[in-house]
Amino acid sequence: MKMTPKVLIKYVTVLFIGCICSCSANDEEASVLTVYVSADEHIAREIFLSFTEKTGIEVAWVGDSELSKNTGLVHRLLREQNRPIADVFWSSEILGTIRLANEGVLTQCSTDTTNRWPTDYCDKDLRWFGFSPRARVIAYDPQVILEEDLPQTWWEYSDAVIADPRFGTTSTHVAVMSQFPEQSAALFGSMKKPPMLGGNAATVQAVIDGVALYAMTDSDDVYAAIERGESIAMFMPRHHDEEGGGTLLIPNTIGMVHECQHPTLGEKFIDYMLSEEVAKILALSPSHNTPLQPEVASQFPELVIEDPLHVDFYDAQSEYNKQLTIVMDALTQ
Amino acid sequence: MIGILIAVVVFVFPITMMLFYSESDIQHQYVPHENGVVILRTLLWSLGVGLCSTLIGWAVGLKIALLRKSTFAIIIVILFMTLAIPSYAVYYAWWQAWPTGSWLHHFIVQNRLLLFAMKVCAFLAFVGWAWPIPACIAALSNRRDNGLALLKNLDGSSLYQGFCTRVRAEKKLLFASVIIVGAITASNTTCFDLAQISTVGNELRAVVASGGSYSSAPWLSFFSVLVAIIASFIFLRCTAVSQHQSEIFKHKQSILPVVIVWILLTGGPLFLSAILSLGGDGLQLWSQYSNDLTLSGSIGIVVALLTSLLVLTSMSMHLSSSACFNYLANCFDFFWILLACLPASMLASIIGDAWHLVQLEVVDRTPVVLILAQVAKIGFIGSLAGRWAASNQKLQTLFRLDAPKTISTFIRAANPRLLQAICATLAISFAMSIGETALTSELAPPTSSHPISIALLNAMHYQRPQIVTSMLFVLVAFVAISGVMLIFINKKLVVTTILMCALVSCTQYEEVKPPVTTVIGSAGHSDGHFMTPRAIDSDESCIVVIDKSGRLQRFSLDGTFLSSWELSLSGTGFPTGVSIDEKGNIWIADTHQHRILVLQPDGTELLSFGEYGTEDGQFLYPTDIAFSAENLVYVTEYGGNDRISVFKTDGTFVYSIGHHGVDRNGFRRPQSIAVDPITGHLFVTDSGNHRIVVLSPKGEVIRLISEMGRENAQMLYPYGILIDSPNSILVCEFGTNRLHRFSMDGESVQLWGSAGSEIGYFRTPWGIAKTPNGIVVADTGNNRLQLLPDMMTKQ
Repeated sequence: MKMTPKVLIKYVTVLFIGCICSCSANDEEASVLTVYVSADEHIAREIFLSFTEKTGIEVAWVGDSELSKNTGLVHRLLREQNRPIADVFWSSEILGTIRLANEGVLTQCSTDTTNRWPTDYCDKDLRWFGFSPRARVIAYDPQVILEEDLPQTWWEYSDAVIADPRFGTTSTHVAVMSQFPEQSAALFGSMKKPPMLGGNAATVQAVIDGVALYAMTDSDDVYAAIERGESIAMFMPRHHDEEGGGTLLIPNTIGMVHECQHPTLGEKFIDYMLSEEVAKILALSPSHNTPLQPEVASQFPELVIEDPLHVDFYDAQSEYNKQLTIVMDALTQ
Repeated sequence: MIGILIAVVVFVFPITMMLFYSESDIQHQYVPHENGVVILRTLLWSLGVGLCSTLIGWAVGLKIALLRKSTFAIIIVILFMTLAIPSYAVYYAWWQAWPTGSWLHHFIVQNRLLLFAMKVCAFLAFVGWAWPIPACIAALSNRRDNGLALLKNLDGSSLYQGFCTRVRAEKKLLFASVIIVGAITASNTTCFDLAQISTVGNELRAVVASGGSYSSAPWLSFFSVLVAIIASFIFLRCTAVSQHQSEIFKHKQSILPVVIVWILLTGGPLFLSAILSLGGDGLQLWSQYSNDLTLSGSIGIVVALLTSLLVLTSMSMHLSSSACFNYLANCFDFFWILLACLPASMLASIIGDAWHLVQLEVVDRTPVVLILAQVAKIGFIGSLAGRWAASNQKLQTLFRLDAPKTISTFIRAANPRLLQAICATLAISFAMSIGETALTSELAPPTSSHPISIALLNAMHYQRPQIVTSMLFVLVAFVAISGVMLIFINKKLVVTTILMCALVSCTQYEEVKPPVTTVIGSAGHSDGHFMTPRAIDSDESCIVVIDKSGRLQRFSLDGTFLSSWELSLSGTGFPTGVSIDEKGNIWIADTHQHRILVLQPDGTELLSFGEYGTEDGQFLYPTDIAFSAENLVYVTEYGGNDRISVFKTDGTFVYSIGHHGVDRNGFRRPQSIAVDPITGHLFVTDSGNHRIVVLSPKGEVIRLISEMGRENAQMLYPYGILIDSPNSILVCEFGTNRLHRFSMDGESVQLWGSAGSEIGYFRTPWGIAKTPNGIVVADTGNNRLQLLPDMMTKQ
C-alpha cells in the first residue's frame, strides 16, 4: 500500500481512537457510577472496591491533588453544572458541599437510609449527608513539649503552622472561626510569618522535622504520622469554655449531583457510604474517622470526641469569603 | 499537515475558545497572595537556577564538545534522557539524601535549618535537573565551531583569560541558557509545592482551583505569558537552523569530569533512590497500581505518537525550499516552546474549559483532553527534534536539490536522522507523559484506574516514600533503557532495523532500485569507514577513495580494506577527484591545494604540478582528471577558471578548453571528466549548468546532453561520470540522488535509485567508477560506497 498523507492520517486516527478506547473501555458500560472524591485516594480506592464487590456496580472516579483537595473539585462541579459528568460528590469536608447545594449542583436523595439520617449531619432538603468526621487538632512533638504545658484554646496557638487557608479542611476551620471574630483576628494577626505550608500533611511533617512547635491540622494526618513511627501526638484545644465549645469536627459529606446520568446507582452508593460497614472501614483506616452510628461508635470508644464545637456550617459558608480575605491579609502582610 | 492539525486541536482551538467565549459566571473565591512578592520570588528563583545551571552546564558542555564522536553521542543521549525524568523526582531523590533519623537530618533539625535545607534541596533539584539544557546547547554549539578551544591551546592563555574570552565570545548563548532554564523553572509547580515555596505557577493553580480565571490574577498571568514569550523567542534565536559545517577536527577529551558532574548532581541521587525502592515494600507498586501503570502507559503511548508526528511536520517545513514554510516552521516551533513554558495549571484550564464547551461525551469521559494537554506541554520535544533533524547540512542540500514529492520518499530521504529524532521523541515524550503530574491531576477523566502520577503526587504529599521510590525506579529504568536504545540507533542497530521494516512494509516504491549491491563502510574515522567519501576511482586490482577527513583508502574489488594513507591538511578542504592511470599511479585533483598530485601505488609521491592562479597551467580548484590514449591528461577545475586544462603526463601544460559561463562553450563547475577510449571524445559533467558536454579532444563542442530538471530525460547537478560501455555513459546525479544512463547520442536510457539510506538508494552521490565486476558509487551523504554489478548486462 502506498504511504500517502491520507493513509497516514487514517492510520494515526485509528491508532488514536484505539488507544483512547483501550484507556476507557470499561467506563463506557451503562452501569458505571461516576464519583468525584476528595478523600484520601487510598481509602477511596478501598471503599470503591468494596462497593463494587457488594453491588457489581463499577465506580469511575476523579480524585484531586493534596493541595487543592476539595476546592478544585467543587469548582469543577460548578463549571460542569449545566452538563454534569459526576453522579455523586464525596467530599472530605463540608463547606464546599454546602456551597454546591446552595448553587443547585446537588439534588435531593431520598432513601430509607437518608430519611433516617441525623439532622445535625444532613441538609434539611436531603441534598447532602455528613458522616465519619475528623477532628481539627494541634499536632505537637511529645518529646519537645508535654501535653500539660499545651495551651488549652485554639486562640493561643500563634506559634503554629497551618496549611493554605484557601483549601481543604483548613479553609473550613478558618471559616468557622469567623464566628469568633475578635479571637480570630488576634490569632492570625499574631502568627509568625510565613505560617502557611502546602497541606495538612506538610504541617505535621514540619513539627516532626522540628521546624514548627505546633501544627493546626486534621486528626487523620497525625494518625498517619504516628503509624509511620514518628514522634508526634495530637491535642484538641477548645474554642470556648462553655458546652459545645470543644474542637471542630469536620464530617465527610456526600451528595447526589443534580441531573446526573445514574441517579439510581447514586442512591445505592450514598446508602452504602452511610452504612455501618463504611463507618467501620473509615474508623479502622489510617485516618481513624469518628463513627456517627452509635453501634459502631461503641466499638471505637477511643475515637469518640467529647463535647465538639456546635457550629452552624451554613453561617460559616456565608462568611467564608469575607473571613478568608481577612485571614489572608493578616497572614501575608 | 498532520502536525498542523495537531497544533489546531491542541492549542489553536482552545485559545480561540478562551478568547471568544465569555467567562464562566461562577463566583470565584480566589483570595490572592501578595502578587508582587510572589513574582519577585519566582524571578529570583528562576534567575538563580538559570545562572547556576548555566555555569555548570556550560562548563560541562565545553568538555562534552571535545569528546570523540561516539562518546559525544552517548553523553548527549544521557543528558536528554535525564531531562525526561521529572524535576520533582530529582527533588525527592535529593530529599531522601537526609532521611529522618540520619545524622545529617539530626544536624539540620538541631540547628533549625530544615526550611533552609528544603530550599537548598529544591535548588539542587532544579539545578540537577536543568544543567543538561545549557550543557547540550554549549556542547552542540561548540561542536560546530571549536575555534576558541584551539585558539586557547595555541596562545597558551591562562585559565582566567580563557574563561573571560569564552564568556565574551558566548555571552549571547549564555544569556539564552539562563533565560530558558529560568522560564522552565518559573513554570514549575510540583517541585515548588514539595519545597513549600509559593511561586507564580502555584498561585495560578490556586486561582483555577478557586474557580477564578486568569483575569482574577492579571499580573501573575501577564508575568507567566511574558516569560514564556521571551524564552521562546530567545530559544529560537539561539537554535536557529544552522548552516554550519559539522566538526572538522578530531576530539580527544576525558569523559570523567562530565560523568562526575552528572553522578553528583543528578544520576547519583536518582539511582540510589530508585535502587532503595527495591528493598522493603517498594514492590507493592506493582500489585497495587498495575492498572494505573497500564493506563499511564496507554496515555503515554498516544502522547508519544502524536508528539512524534510533530517531528515530521517540523522537519518537512524547515527543509522546505519555500521561505513561507520556513517562516511557518519557526512560528510552529515558537508556539510549542511557548506552551511548554506556560504554567501547567494555565494550560489545563484553557484546554479543559475549551473542550468541555464542546459537550462531547467521549471528550468528558475519556483521557482525550488530558492527552491533548500533555501534547501541548510536551509537543516542543517533537517540534525541536524536527528542527534538529532539519539542521543537518547534508539534508538541507539534499532537500534543496531533490525535494521529495511523497511522504514515503520524504521518510526514506530523511533517514536515519528522522528516525533518530522520532525515536528520541517517542522515548522522551513517553517518559515525560508518565511522570507528568500537574496536568494529570487537573484533567484526569473519571475512570476506575487513574494515571500513576496522581498516586505519585499524593504519595509524596502523604510521605509514602516506598511508593515514590518505586515509581522513580520505573521511570529511571525506562529512561535508562530508552537511552541505551537510542545509542544503539546511533549505530544503526536493533531499533533502526525494526522500525525501518515497519515503514518499508507499508510503502510501495515507485523508483527502480539498482540490482543487488554490496555496501562498503559506514560513517567513522577508522579504517574501512568514511567521513563524506567523494573522490573515487578503480582499476583492475583495487578501488581508491578519498574522503573529507583527508584519508586515501584502498579496497579490494570485493570491498575488503587494503590500506590507508593520511593526506596532508590543506587548511580548507581535501581532494574531490582521483584517477588511476594504466600504470596504477594515483592522480589526485588536490582541489584546495590547487595542484595535481601523483602518487605511486605504494603511496610515494611521484609528481606534483600546478599552483594557485588563473594563468595557463595554474589552477583555482581542480576537480577531476582523465587520460587519453594519446597520453594527455585532462584536468577539470572551477572557482572562476571553470575550464579543462590539458597536460602531458610530466605536467607540461598543453592547452585549455572552455571558460566560465552558461553558453555552449562555457562551464559552471565541471565536476568530472571521462574520455571515450574509442573516439577520444571528452564527456564532462557541467554540474552547474546541469548538463553533459561532449567535446572533441581539441575542445569543439559536439553535443550537449540533457537539461536541468528531475524528469526522466533531465538531470540535476551531474557529478560523477564514466563510460561504461561502447554505447553508453553513466552519470551519478548529486541533485536527484540517482544513477542515469545515456546513450552516446544523449538519449536517456535508464534510471536507478532515489534519496534514501537503504541499500540501493543514494544520498548526494559524488563519484562513480568502473570495476571489472560492475561499478562502484561514492554514496557520499550515506558515508559509504555501493558496489553494483554491471547493470547494462544484468537488466
